[in-house]
Amino acid sequence: MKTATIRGWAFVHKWTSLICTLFLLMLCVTGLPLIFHDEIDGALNKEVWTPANPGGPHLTLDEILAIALARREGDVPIFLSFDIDRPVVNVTSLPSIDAPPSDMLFASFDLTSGDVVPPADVGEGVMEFLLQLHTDMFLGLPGMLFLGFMGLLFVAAIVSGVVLYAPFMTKLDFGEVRREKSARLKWLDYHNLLGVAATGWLLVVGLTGVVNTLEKPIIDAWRYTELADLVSEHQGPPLTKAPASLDAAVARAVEAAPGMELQFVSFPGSPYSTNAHYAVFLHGKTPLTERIITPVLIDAADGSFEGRREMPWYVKALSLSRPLHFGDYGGLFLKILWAALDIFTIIVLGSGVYLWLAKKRVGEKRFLSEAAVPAE
Amino acid sequence: MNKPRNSLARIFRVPLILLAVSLAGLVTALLVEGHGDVIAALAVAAPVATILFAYFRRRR
Repeated sequence: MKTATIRGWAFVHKWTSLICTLFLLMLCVTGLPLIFHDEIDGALNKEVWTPANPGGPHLTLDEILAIALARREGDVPIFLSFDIDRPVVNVTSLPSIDAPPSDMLFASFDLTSGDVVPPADVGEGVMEFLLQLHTDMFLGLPGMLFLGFMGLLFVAAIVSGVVLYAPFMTKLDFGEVRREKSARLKWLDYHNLLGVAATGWLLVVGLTGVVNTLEKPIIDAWRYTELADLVSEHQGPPLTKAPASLDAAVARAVEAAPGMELQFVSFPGSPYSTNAHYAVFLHGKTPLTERIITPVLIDAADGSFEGRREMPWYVKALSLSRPLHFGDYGGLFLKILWAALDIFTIIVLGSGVYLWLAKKRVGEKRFLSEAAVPAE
Repeated sequence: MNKPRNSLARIFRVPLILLAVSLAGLVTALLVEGHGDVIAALAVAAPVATILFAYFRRRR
């Protein structure tokens, strides 16, 4: 690489990093406890809930729904979802189908008794705060998209950093750190070593983070195009008579999607369904497909099957970006690695700022001529 | 400072191996369950182990 080329890449690396560093530091610091969200919840909520009649027969979904709706007179059901590892269903309802989301009533019910399951929410406030800060800094969609842009700058900084690795390493072996010469050289060598060794993880977590910031537009695109197509093909007048059995509708949907598991039901008139259908969402059973959901429409008047639609590719991409960003798909060992790499990222960011300040002190020309060797 | 210059191939040999191994691990952990997860996580651990090794090697 010629000196001018090195200086060009150094310019890109400097500015992309400088702009995103503060936000990336915030993301790394808030992300660290979020990796262990489930473990922290488990530790703070020691009381393990057990069903009233373990192994006993389950109430029907229609019975649970009746219990849920009786808790607030006149409510209509919006969503019903199923817990994975315990016999619990969650019901969300509203006073009317077009009431604002702030009026939502959410409760969990024991399938074996119909009792309300107390929420395990000790410490939830702090985790919620960290999660909000991490996703949108309390600024909603603009905040999310802004952090997505910071993520793109971060990716550009990684790529330019890898390019710059070459001229800085022409006289060094991999992993060599010049500890004795000066603090500046020592931190330069650590910065390069950590950055280049963690490049794969940094790119994956960075890029999937950017995809996750597009969640709202991606889900909206799905709702207003493909899902809307499926729904409008069948959109009719609102139900005039009492809806058909929920259990029968769910059973019919499971039949229509063999090899899949129930995830949630969207009721007639709710955002993910039509005026006259249950939309039953199911997911696959393998690690790869368990995040891919498929909606099945069931006529709410007579319980007959209406249609089924696969997720479009861009929603699948979003579904796979989540585990790859959160690191929650390979057990505790993978989470610990996520935490270690997160801490290394903090060191790379911190040493980067230090090197920028040190370079300003000695002058860029001397810094580069000391450390980077151009091709002759 | 009379060490011979490293070729690009030499400079990027270890980083490219680490990149390939860790990416393979990250994707494999998504595809498999059970024992496969541990092997995949070990692949993701390669860069972490490399960094720790480089740090402690000259400390003694």
